[in-house]
Order: sequence, then C-alpha cells, then structure tokens
Amino acid sequence: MRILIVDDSVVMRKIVEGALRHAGLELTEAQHAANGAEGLAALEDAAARGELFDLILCDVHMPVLDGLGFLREKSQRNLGPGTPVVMITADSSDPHLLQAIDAGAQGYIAKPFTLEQVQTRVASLLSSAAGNASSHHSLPPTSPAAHTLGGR
Amino acid sequence: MDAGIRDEWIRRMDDAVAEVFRSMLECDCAAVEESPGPGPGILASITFSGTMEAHCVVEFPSSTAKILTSAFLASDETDWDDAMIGDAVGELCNMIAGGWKRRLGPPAQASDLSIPCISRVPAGSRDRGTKKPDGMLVRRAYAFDAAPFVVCLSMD
Repeated sequence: MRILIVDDSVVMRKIVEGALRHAGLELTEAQHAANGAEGLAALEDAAARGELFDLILCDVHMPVLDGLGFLREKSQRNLGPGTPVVMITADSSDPHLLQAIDAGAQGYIAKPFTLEQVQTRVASLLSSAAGNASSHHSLPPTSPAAHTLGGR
Repeated sequence: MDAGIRDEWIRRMDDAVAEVFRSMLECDCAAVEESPGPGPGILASITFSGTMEAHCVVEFPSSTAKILTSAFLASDETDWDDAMIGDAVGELCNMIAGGWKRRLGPPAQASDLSIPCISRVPAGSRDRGTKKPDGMLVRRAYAFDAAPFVVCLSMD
C-alpha cells in the first residue's frame, strides 16, 4: 500500500506513519510532503510514473499551501483521482475542516488520537473508498500491546 | 477575572492537557505546584482569532522538550536537532489549543487557530504571560514523567 502524508510537522508525519504501520497496514511506500504544494508535486511525480497512492493523509493548516488548497488543486488538476484523502486536525470545530470535506476529503482524524482511533477511521475509509473487502486493505484486529502511539 | 470563570478555564485546560498525553503517549500529565526553573527553554504559541481573541503558549525547559520529542517519536534518542524539538512542542501546543477550544463551545468554536509559532528563550527570560487590562490570563504548570512545563492561556 502506498500512502502520502502531507503535514508541515515532521514529528506528526512520523507519528502518523508509525500509527498506520502499527494499525496493521503494510506500507510499501510512505511518502512525506511538508505542505500542499509538495503534496501536489508528489502526486504529479507518481502520475508520471503511472502510479497512484492508495491513501492521502493531509493536515488542514500548513504554510505555502494548506489542506484546502491542496484538495482544490488536486481536483482541478485531476491528480490522484479516486485516492481517498483524510484530513488530520487538532481543531475538529475548524470551519476549514468542513470546507475540506466539501472539497473532496473523505473524512478526518482528530488530534490527539489513539492507535485504535486511527485504525478504525482508516479501515472505514478504505472500505468505503474501495467499496469492497479487498484483502490487502483489510486491517487485523487491534493488538492490545500496540495501543499507544508512544509505545510504537 | 471572575473566580468561577477562572476555575472553568483551569478545568478545561487540565482536561485538554491530560487528553493529549493520555491519547498520544498513554501517560498521565497533571498540574503541579512548582513551575520549571529559569533555565533556557522553548516556547510555542498559537493565536485564536475571529469570534475569540486569545493566545495559547506552552513553555518547555530544554530538557523537558527533548523528553517530549523522544516520547512522541517513541525513540531512545536524546540528541534531537532544534527543528525536531520545535516541531514536537508546536504539535503539543496545537493539540492543547484545539482541545481547549473544543471544550469552550460556541461561539469560541468558530474562531481560527494559527499555525504554532516557535521561539527559543535564554535562561532567565522565559515568558511570564501578559494580558490586557480587561483580559484574562491563566498560567499553570504541569508535569509528565516528572518533566515539567507550563501552559499559559490568555484572552484579550
């Protein structure tokens, strides 16, 4: 599975990638981008190689190009069509979050989060996006030993 | 500040701080009596704008900031560069500010949060928090794993 994490925080990108790995996703590639513009460039590079990401996780507030701008540009330029985007936010009451959903994001993960919350949300999202029970996207049951992000 | 409002601010602040550490690190973080000493440190600040004009500042001694960074990244490493430490403290500030805002309810929930602003402070000059004459200010020390830091919330 190939994922793209778009967040201006290196720490949060690492936390999210670690959470997904420990949620049971087999990541063949986890690409990081520090803002929406870098995220678009990653999508363009992937398209040029004839590849698609399976999932994009995107921060809402970022310098250069924020999450909403990323979604709008992605749509206008038809980059990664069909790839589900989940927003990551510390402010679940942020008006920009609703705009992001309107602009094509499939859902969001609110910070702070537990491993179970990430697992549940991503599994639900991938299931909806795929519309099937494709085995390579299915997640194993939650491991009681892997509940904390800090305990990765 | 009215005592009742101040108590409510503190309760929501305590809840927001505890939630971040419990969810992300599965560790306790509670208020403590003693503030960190006057050594060098790092600040992260977030501004609320729109329906509420306020500021959330977290102040970390350098040693505590390194512990936080290691905890977030689940690493035994202690020699983090400044950018990584700033990132970790900024993320913590972001989550505390977001949690506090969510607990305030409307109309504060409609306000916008800025991106965290990170700054370094030399020994002895840590921000003590400021407020306007009619504003409100709550400054509170916390500790996780015996590592202290301060959260300061002010409303204009």
